[in-house]
Amino acid sequence: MRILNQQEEVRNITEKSRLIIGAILLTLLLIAARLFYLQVYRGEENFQRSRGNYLLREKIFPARGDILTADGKVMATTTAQFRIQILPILFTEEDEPEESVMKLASALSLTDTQSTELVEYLLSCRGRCRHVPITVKDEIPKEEMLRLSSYLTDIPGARISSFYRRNYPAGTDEAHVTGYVARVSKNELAGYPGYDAESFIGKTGLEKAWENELHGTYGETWHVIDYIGRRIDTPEMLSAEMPDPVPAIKGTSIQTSILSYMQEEAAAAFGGQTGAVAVMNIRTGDILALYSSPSYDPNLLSGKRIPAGVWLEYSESILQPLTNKAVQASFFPGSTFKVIPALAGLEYRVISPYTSFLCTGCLWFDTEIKCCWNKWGHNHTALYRALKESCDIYFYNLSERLGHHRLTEFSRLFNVGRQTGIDLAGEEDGILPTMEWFDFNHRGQILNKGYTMNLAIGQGDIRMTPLQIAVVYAAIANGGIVIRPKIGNYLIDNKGRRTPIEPEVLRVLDIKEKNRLEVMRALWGVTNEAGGTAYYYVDHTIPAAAGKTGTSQIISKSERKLIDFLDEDRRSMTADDALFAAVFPYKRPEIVAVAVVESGAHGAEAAAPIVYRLLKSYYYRGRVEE
Amino acid sequence: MNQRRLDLLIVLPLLGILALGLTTLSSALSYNPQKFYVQLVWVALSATMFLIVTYRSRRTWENLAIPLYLVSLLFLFLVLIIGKKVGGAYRWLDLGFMNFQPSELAKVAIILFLSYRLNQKPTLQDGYKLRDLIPETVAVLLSMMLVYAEPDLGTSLLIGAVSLIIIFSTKINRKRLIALFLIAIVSAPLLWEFVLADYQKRRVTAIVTMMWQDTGDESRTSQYHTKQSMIAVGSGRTTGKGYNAGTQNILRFIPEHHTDFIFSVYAEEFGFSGCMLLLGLYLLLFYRTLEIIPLVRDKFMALVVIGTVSLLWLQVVINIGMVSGVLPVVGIPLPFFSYGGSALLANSILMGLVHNFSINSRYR
Repeated sequence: MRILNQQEEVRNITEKSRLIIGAILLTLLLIAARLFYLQVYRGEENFQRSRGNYLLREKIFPARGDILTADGKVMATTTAQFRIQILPILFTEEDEPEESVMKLASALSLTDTQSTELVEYLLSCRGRCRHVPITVKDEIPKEEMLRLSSYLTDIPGARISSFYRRNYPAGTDEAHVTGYVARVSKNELAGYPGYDAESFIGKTGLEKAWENELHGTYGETWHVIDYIGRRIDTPEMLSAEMPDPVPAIKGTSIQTSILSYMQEEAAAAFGGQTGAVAVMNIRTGDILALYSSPSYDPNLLSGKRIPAGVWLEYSESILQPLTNKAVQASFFPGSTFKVIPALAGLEYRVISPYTSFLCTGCLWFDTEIKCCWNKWGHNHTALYRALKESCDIYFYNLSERLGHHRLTEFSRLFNVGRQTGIDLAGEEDGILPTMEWFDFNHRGQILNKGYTMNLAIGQGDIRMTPLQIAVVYAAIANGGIVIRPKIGNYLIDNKGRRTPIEPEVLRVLDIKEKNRLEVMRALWGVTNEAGGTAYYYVDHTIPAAAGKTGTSQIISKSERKLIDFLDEDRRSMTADDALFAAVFPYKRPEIVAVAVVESGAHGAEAAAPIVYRLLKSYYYRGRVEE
Repeated sequence: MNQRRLDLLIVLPLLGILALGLTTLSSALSYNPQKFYVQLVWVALSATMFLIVTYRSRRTWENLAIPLYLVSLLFLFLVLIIGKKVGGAYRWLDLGFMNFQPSELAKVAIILFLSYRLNQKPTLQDGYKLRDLIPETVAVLLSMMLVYAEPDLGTSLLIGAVSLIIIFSTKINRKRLIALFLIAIVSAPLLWEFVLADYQKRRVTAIVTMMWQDTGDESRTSQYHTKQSMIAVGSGRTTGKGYNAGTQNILRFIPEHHTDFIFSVYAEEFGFSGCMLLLGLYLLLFYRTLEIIPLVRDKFMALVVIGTVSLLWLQVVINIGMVSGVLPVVGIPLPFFSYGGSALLANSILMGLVHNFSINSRYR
């Protein structure tokens, strides 16, 4: 066979090389097409994806809106505090963190345990962990931060960030009005989807009720990060386009109707006693003072960490300092309830002001016996003396004429057994034992006369919060307007614009003025005529107020005897609650004040002086100019 | 002495590619300029080598073909024993003053070896019988296996592919050719089943799933690399983000961004237009180089040219293909562009030879 010469060989290879040129062209074209697809056809999309790689959004927390009193004092505000973090990778070598930590500890005056923990943490921190900043000192006030910042320049990887801390300058005095804030919980986060998991949220009081207004709007700033999430501090060296930062907007501030001096007076008036007091404008429903005793310090609960023992102390105490007893606890209204059957009797015309019943101390009916608080009896008693001296027998008889249905229906008009709608969180409903309620809660029993009699003197199953009592007395004083109590008066936005929060009328009752004045007159007698249940406990140096005492048994007398015998501690806990409700001034009513003193025995003795201190304070300091 | 000392249509595209490569490298290595200076030293060394090879007689290289092959085998053995482990593979020999990659030498050696052997072996009219090529096949397989053992599947297959192209460029008996194809078809599944390591299979499947469906498990590193590389390439859009301004590059979202993935840095910073310029330069270089073949005097020169062009071309296609997400990630650098001295030096020797042939056949 013939052997090819070099020319033929080269010619052969030349032919093959044409194929190779074809293959080269084809493959390079395919590559160009692929690049066209990635860079032109889907270029914009890929460009955005590359931005998504390096842009990290950081939320800026807004300052919470302030809460102010009507006289311009600060109830709740925020102050900037600082936190020092270190980035392990910049801070120290992986294996010998001791020296760096020593330096840091002396600069920040850390305790020995803190330093030891930090050393242990740094020793165990490897890989990705070393790029995650850790907090070494928290809640540093501004003044201290200024001092510390000079030391920090020597410490590599140290970073300062700020946050807002809630402050309540009045401490315990206003705690139950403002409530407090704390780190948002997982459940709450579901209800506020825009919230950051680190943010603080109102847990009770105004803070919770006005959460949406107070919270403010998050801002955002953007950081450039590299492939392992490290922040690049000089992003301007890249021509990376950064979205504009959005500043955080401080929350709306709220000016309340609270008068700081009355609030102080309320706190002082209670001293060591347990209970609550509320003072309300009878026309607008503005709350001037609202205090629940014992109180708590919201400053202790609003930090990042609650000091050890504080939470336990508050939540476990039998005196329940965390409960706002003016709205979150309900009591037997006792004799303070009597104004409702009295007015109902007149309105339904089952009695006239001159209708009298004989009180001999006790009343026999069917197979039962019910007695008046006054064993000697009030003799023949008409409406005026019945209220003034708080005759129970009169109201037993009255309730018999009214009947259970009319009494509860009339009570319902005054919003008994329903939330008042005040802008405080966690309000109680109280209980109005209507027929349906009775059937549901006392299955198989028959509602007898005695049950209605008990209701008429505010005992039995009825429960009212002090604020609900205040609403009833306000309606009687203002001509039958059932008003919604409120604390927030104005919303003040960042630019200082004030938006008033309008009062809200729940119901206007069609009550005859004659009947209403009849009841008011009797209430005047309670405090201003010898023989009135409160007469001897009243401060007569200020214009007359109309009021009503109430003493409510918590347990029956036979039970009481048992406890007296057995248990020293519980004796004081189960003593009667004392109530006093007052409308002031009698001649031209402006405010209503209701006080409850738990285990305060007789209403006039314990509760009336508290109410009168507040009335006096209101009278002498006068209304604030608005 | 020749009138013309340079074939500008080879030298200029080459310099163009080199310049673009160095520009990109300086951007990719801006955090570590020292590495960039090392590359500059390699460039100087390679340029010198290129000129030496250009002006040496081709006889030198014909004589060197067999010894060079043997030396390359020796180095490939050595690297398995005393090699430096980088990223799970033994690919580098630490020579003290520099790191040397024997597989790059193997590429040069196998091209010279095959061209030399096939030149020595006269072709019959019907072409080579397979039997005639057994020593060459064994030599190629030996080289491939040693590279594969590092393990470096990409380079191993590349050597195989280039060798096949060289062999097929000569005349081969048709019947034998068909038989060879059949063997290849049968052995492919066997190769997949018994030879490929798990991580290699993963890479192949990763690319396949990537291409056919958009959703994939991103946690896998090979997919993550490909994804970030594709974002980098695509985000360059038409004109690119500008020199030293590629965020994927500077913030190091691109893996191995100065070696195998250098093209994605280039594509990000210079965009589609930049890419077309680079592809154009490569095309010009390949075309001009292949144009020499009809002018050369013998089979050795023609086969060296074929081998050189196909080696460079395959590297370009595989590298850009893997960077742009259409081919699996195998460690194939972009010639005259990626960071790395051994590859640059090896490619320069080959281009120097081609340049040598070009000058001598065009301007003699």
